[in-house]
Amino acid sequence: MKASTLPPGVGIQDTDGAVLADIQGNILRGYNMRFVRHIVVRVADPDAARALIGAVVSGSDGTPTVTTAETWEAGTKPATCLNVGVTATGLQALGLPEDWLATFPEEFRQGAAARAAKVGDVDGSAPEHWRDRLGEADNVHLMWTIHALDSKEELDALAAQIESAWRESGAFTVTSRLDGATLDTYTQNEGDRDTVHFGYRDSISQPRFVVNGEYVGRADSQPIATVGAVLLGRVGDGGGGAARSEHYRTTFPGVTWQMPEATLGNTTIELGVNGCFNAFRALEQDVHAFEQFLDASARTINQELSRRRNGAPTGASEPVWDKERVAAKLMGRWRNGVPLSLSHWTKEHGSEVRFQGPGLPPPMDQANLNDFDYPDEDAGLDDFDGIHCPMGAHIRRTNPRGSQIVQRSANYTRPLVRRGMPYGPPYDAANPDDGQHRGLLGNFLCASLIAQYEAVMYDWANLGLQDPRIVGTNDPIIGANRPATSRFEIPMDDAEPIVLSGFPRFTETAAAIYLFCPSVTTLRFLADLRPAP
Amino acid sequence: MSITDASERLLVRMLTAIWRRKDPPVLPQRPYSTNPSDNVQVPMNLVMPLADNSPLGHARLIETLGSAVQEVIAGLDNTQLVHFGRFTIVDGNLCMFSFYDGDFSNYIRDFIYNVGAAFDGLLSHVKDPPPLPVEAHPDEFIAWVMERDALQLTFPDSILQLGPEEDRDPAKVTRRLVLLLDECGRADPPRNVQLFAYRAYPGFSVAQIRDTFKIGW
Repeated sequence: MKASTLPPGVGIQDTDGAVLADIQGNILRGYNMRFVRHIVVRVADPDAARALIGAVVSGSDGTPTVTTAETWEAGTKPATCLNVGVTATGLQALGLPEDWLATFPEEFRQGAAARAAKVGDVDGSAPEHWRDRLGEADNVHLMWTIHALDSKEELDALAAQIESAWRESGAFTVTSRLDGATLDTYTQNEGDRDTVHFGYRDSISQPRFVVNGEYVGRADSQPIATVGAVLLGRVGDGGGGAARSEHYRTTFPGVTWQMPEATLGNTTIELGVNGCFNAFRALEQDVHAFEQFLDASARTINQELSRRRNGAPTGASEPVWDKERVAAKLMGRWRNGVPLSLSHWTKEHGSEVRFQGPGLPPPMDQANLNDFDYPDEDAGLDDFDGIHCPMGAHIRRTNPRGSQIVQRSANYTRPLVRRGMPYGPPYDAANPDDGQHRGLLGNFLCASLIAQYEAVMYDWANLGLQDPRIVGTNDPIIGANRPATSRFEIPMDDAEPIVLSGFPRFTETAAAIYLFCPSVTTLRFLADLRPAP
Repeated sequence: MSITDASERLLVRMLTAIWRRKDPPVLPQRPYSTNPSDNVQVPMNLVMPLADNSPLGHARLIETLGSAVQEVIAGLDNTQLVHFGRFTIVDGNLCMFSFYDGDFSNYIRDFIYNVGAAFDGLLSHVKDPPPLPVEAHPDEFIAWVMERDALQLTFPDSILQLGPEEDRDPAKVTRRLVLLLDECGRADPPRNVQLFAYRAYPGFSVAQIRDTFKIGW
């Protein structure tokens, strides 16, 4: 689809490929690969570390090169990809002077552990409980990420190659290795490719960018996202010197974010250009507790509805309340990805036919899974009261789309690019106490951690500030719930809402890292740093 | 001042200097609570020294505010995060006192987006203003406001973080307070302190109240 005229700074027009070659991969478009390994390292020898960064930029001495956003022609998708992010302590360890580091946003400089309470990483999710001492900033300098298309062996081989280079040069010591794989690699079922441990089909909704006049992603009722939602940067050449370039348009038109920069004499080098921030999270999922809650909630709801009917049997036009319907209400989508707002109804049918039966609704055309809104004027659907999709459901909380929300100007201002992959084997209901760790390795990419990622987590996921009907409640899937205070309301048509309560936190944070994913130009700049002795 | 008072003050100054060396105080960050009711109706006490404290300077400020007030009201209505807010001149300072909902930086960012242009005019009257226009420097403006917002000693929780039982010794509490207040005085600009805030209906957001009274949210 061709993009029509867009305001300046919204899309990327890259006639000679230089811009996409400067941006790290997996930001504007997902790799859609089967295996991932995140290797978190500490800088042991700054000179050797900078040399190695230089090598992965230049590819010298046979070193694997960092993967960029350059377009892959058909049949040229690589077998493996390599990317890198740096923490604030990592930049320090690489020798970035304090006055340059001070130009990075404060939340990034403080780091994920210091910001934990704000995003709900408390109790069992607090930094002191994170795996491999990843809550200690001095252990977490860089995160190398290797993706492999469909071969674990290829991933292992690339990891061995770069780790061997570190060992030889003494550049880094490894703090943690976190491996993920799509669930189909365990089940051999292609249908599990985008499924996560809670059983939902994931990665459906992503901000849509326009690159070289082409939309990236599925059909969507939401407005085109500015590339400034995920990239710091500029439009055209600012000319260097003391003059600042024109920035990509942020999600708040007219408002610009702080640009990390270095000053050398009279020259200012904008280190942030074409880079982005990443809130990386290892999220441990208690699938057994979640499944038990779904079963128990279905029973509770049926008992409550039976009480309301004075024991009369369910009417033929009333929906079946089984665990799948409860799961759909908590998420806002059925576990097969069909959004509650559409159910199995499609615009082509011209009228609403809601799924009433047990289990999952019929699957929809994949291309249409994201083409909905809560007030959908095209379809004549207004779900203000949350009869289809509850206001507190995960996908509506974290992206209210065009819903009426309290902060009138905040719709569409907090988009996050999500690149995640499960870790651990699939849950087996027949063997619930298998002692295995399982969850999601999630990258939440944005241009401003505080204005996008933290704003979603604090105001929306864990406070419900966007709608007075959910204030004081937490997201049922990712929120910092406690049994004593948890609450989830399911609005009902012409009846009192059903209230679910007493549920625990289903997702615990096992690690979190705030990373800066520099452009290739900035990686080269870091490699060339020569700190004063 | 009696000789006894003067001696006590001198002693405290000497002790403070020793304590500072032993245990350098750090002004705490704005706390985040896991109790949702703590995260609505949060007070802000923004104190901005005025550049011109003459009657003419005050008159110009009042004229600027007068021309912007409708825009400020419309902007605050649009953010729907502020329960009450008022601008007051106190002893040569332009003060903005409010109760707001949610995260401080989100509140200020929404404020910039909605009222930034009008606020630029007001900021031109204060001493050491942030980089203007605020829309082009939101992070700097948020940091600037935080430096001028009163440190909240007891809301939502005590930031003294008294810790284990042995640290609750009254003498230790006094020492912590003295160190903290000494640090507030050394800050540039000196940091004010909020002692206590009362909320008649804790835990409710602006939108909940507007929704309850059917005045639109």
